[in-house]
Amino acid sequence: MSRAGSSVQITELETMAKLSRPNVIVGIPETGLVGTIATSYLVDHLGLPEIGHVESDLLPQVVVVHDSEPKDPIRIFGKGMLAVVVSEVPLTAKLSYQLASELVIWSKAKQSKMVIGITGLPSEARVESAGDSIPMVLAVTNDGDLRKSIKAIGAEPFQHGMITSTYATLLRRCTSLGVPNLTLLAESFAEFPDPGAAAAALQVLNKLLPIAVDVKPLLDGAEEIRLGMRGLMSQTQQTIQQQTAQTTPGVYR
Amino acid sequence: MRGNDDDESGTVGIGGPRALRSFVEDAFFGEERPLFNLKSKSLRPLCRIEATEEAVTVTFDLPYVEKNDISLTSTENTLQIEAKMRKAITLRVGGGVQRHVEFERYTGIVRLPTTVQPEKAKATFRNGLLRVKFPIAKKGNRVRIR
Repeated sequence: MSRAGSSVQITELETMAKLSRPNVIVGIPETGLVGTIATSYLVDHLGLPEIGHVESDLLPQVVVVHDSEPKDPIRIFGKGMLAVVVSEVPLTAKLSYQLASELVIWSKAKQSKMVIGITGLPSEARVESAGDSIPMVLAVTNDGDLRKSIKAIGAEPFQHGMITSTYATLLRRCTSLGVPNLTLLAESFAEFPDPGAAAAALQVLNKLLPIAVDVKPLLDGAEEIRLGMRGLMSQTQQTIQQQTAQTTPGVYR
Repeated sequence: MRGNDDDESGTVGIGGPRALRSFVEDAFFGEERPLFNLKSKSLRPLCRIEATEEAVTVTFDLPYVEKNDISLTSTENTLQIEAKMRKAITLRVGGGVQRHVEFERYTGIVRLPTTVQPEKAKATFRNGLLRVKFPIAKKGNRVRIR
């Protein structure tokens, strides 16, 4: 799908035609890489096939070759009623806005039931307890009925505050196009990959959707993930720091 | 989140299934990036520094490390860390054609944002997170306003 004026295109593989009113789950590298870890694990755990990818001249000009096969950095996996968008690169402000906008337009065209964003919320308590504290998952939604059942899915309502970057645009664009959106924010480390926070977010997802994701392997493999995602975490931190000054209204800093 | 063909040899993938391995450390964090030192085969740990009016706290993320294998040295302005991993871990590195490099330890030196009292530092280590807290040195001459 491609629209005039947008430099982001979603390229669909033939298998994407099998999607049916999917819930679209989005994971972008941000705080604690919670979104990327959660969505990567989901794809792996559910064995979801690749059904598309994102093309944009705003992406780094890189092709990564794994086992002789070139791969795109932002890909869509899924089948049936589930589509998962995973980015393996942090997004610049312009790419973030355009990607979020395109994903919502694409979700609407697919008659998506809901767009679900997963990310982290920096938590001092989590750092001070060295990860012993059980991460609370805060949720914000534009859907009135779902708002009433946030506690029932094991999350806490996000009462006051601000959501920034990709997830903010997803929520805003969903609202303007009439697509239900749920954004999950798990308390997490800000600067370190946080598989524990990703697991907490997935447990909320387990109560919301007909999926049964066992998070134990994710928690058992936490050290491996923390080590393996250092590079992405470091790059993401640099991107966030560059953008915070540009995008955050002074009153909230 | 395994999915690496070299799992049995203790290789760590970048996380995610085979198709999902993040390539950022490899592609964008080539040898010029300071996340690792190829000569000494050591990793630079991810680090967070917080400063308040009273204290400077440095937190390191040290997966695969045990408490007794950490060595810390500090001055009034720097904190140096050496930590041995409990097993050698192989990571793929390199910006072009990638190669496997085995890492056995973390090393790093952090410049502190203000002058501290290194002799009063307190450190805790749990779940692979090392936190070192320094009281800030009270130095300088009072300036009177007339």
